[in-house]
Amino acid sequence: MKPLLFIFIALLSGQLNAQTIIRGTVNDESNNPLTGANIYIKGTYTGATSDTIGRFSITTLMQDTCILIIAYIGYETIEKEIALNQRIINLDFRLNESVSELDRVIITAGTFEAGDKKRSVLLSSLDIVTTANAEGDIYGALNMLPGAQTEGETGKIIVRGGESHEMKTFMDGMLISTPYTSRMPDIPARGRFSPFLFSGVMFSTGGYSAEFGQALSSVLELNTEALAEESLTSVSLLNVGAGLGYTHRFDNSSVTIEADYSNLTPFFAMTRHNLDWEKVPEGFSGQIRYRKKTGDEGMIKSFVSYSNSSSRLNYPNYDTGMKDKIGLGDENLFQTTTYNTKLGEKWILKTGLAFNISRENFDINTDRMSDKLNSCHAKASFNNYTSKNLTMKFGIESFHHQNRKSYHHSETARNYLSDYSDHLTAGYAESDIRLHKSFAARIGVRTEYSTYLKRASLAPRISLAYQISKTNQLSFAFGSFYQNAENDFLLVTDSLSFEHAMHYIFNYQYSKNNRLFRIEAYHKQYDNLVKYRYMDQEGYQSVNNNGYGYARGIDIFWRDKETFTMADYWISYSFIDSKRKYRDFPVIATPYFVSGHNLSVVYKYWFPRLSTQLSGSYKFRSGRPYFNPNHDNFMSDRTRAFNDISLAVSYLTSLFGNFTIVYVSCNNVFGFDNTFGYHFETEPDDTGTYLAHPVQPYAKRTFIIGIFISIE
Amino acid sequence: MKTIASLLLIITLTFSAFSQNGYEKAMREGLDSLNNFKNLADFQNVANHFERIAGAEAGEWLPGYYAAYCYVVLSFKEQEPGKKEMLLAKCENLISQILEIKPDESEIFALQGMLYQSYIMVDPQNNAPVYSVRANQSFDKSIELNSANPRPYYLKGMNLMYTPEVYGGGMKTACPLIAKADELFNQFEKENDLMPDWGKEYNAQLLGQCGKEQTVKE
Repeated sequence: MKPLLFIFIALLSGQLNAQTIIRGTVNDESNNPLTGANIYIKGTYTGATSDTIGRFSITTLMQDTCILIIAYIGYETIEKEIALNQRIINLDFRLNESVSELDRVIITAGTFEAGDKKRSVLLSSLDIVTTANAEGDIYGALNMLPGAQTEGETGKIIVRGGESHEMKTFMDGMLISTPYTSRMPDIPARGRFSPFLFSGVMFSTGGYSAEFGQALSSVLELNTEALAEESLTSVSLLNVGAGLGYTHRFDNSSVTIEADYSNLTPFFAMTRHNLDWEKVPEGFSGQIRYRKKTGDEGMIKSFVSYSNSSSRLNYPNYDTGMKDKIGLGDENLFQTTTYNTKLGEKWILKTGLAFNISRENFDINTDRMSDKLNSCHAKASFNNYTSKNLTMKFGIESFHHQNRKSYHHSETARNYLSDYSDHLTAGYAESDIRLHKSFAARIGVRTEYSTYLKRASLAPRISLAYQISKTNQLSFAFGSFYQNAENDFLLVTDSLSFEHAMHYIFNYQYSKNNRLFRIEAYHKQYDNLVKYRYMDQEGYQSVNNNGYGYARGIDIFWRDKETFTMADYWISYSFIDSKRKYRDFPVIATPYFVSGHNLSVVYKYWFPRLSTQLSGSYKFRSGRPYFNPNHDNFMSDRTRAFNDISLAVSYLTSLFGNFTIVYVSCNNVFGFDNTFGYHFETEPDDTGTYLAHPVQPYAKRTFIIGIFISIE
Repeated sequence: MKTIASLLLIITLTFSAFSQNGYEKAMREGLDSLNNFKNLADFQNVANHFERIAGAEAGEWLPGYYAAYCYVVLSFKEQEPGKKEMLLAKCENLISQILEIKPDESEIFALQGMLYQSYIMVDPQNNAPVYSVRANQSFDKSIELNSANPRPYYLKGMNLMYTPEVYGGGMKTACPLIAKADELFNQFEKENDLMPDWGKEYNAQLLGQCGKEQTVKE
């Protein structure tokens, strides 16, 4: 007993006697003092806060050694073992900024990231809905960003001189094969899905990750909401249709069911237009969304959507001088299910299965056409998070495409049938490396093999970002991109190779608080584009891969939410120089869908007293080239410049105690006379000239009026 | 042998009693500085103090609670969005730690609601839809766990007072909650002197504004 007691007494007395003072300073990497850092001995109450010049002092009775912790918000914590062998110990600490925080360097070349919840973003779902001119369509809003332009007559997005099929749309990483609605000739299509479905939108105009393939120009990633926040009923009533939705939130899961009926009768009744409808577009769509949280990192997301529509139109035929009777009926089923789960400490497995079934039936007078498309996408990606400075992903993907087109020519009573099916397997590996706090690199490679074309590709991708200061950053991206030719050509022949593009992108970005400026220069080189001699009733003749081309230009973007209170505006300008020799082009020329100069201005102002947001937009596009058969030079003519000023008003109110938005928008308020191009008659008239008929918007002004009610 | 054991027992008991008193003493010191703060820097100081206690007392939720409270107050005052988010992330982290220690504490959920209210301020246009729902869920949970807790009513009422009427805010909806909070504040009795006890004075001020509004209208 005695020795034990002795030890205890010795310990106690020792503690009372030997005091140690630990003192020193806490600074950041550039030797600026840090005020408010917490310096303390691990496992005890003993500690201090650094003062205005970074100084601290701690007195302890502990013996031998202790562990000192130095912690400060936004900096990496230091833990240091200290020998308490002197009465006074002087220690100076330097804390490194933690790179996981907001100021870390991120790769920005080619990418417009939006909706990353907390980070101040470029575009959110709400931005899309409230952008005048977008008419609540995702693709309509992208049109207001630099590098993107809508092809007015189809409503589809052209990115940096790349045709609309060069852009692919993904929902939670899974391919949407038919992202646009079916459309009648010269009437623009819209995005199939509402912007309200998505919490984040990532729009890449080039140099994107090796995770994405089969897109020569652009990738649009739409990320859906995780669990719905609460149970809710939503009602919408517009001059284009009505919708009803119900969401139920359970503890760890949520289910949403939605049904929409669309009928454009009221829309066309309040619009002066030049369309001769036999049957105004009418359709039904239904949707089910299911979300389930499984464990800490696990999540199942399932999305099913079905839609159909039908319409009949009398469309002018300039050769016969009569009107063709065109009918369109379509059905579309899209399903995607993704499942993410943690595998051990450092790995996350992301899997997905999506399919898209589309049926389109066209009839022109007595001829009938049908287009059946089945596609399936399966994906598994293993993502490794070894450290904050090194992440890796490895993935395998499989795409199955099946397309069948039939054409019944009534005059000759002949049936033309063509179909093809392709199985494309892809693998990718990519690593994000942060070599220094201000320098990051993303290096990836993607490989693909197509069973139909019997060809393989290997595409390297590299992006670099260097942060000059917290507000200034330089990025560079380089990459190789492959894509199958369009279905129309694959239906004709399998002796084609992948179309190919190389991207080179230079980007400078300045961002501070709520202001952002970016300028991006790019060069895109196309080769192996599809070329054919001519097209006749039998189809495309001598299809090959001898096409080539380029697109180069400068995109400038400025967004400012700060200078004017209650106002938010952005300006984007793009200059593009693009030429191709592809399809049936006899010479290298600027394709018909490219406008050289493009300017968009979007301005939004919030009137707090009126609870109203006013949004205005201006869009300018320089003239587009078109081929005039009366002139010798191919594509040497230009249309007039395109101008549009649009306005939208959103009024927030409450109706029977329920949150309600009333929305009114008008496109092309001043009724500018715009022309997309010309249809020429196939035979010359008596004087030997081919008569031209302008392709114009079907209406000078269009109005959308709607009311959205959320019932909790 | 018996004597050794009992002696050891006595020593251990003395020590733990000492440590318990040390805990309470340190907590009281922290609460004193919190109640007598002179400037914002004091909040960082107090937060550090409570975080040290939290680090040493893994089973206690109150030190982490007060540290989180300091950070949420600091976040409301911070102007720079990036810094604000870091403070909120820190606070969120502390709250999830103390929820593991005491998952059914009404006070913690009230504080969580306040944290979500501060998230709204970072980027109102984008954050308001999600975080206002979360804040309300936290306040509802707080009330469900202890209907005598005045703080969820007070925080909810204060927020509604500054919310435009069309979003369901305004004096008309805010004042009944402020009045309810006032009533609960007057009846509220702490379990012990370390338990949270803040908000009464400011709630009374808000109630004063409600009174004025009514007189003007009449």
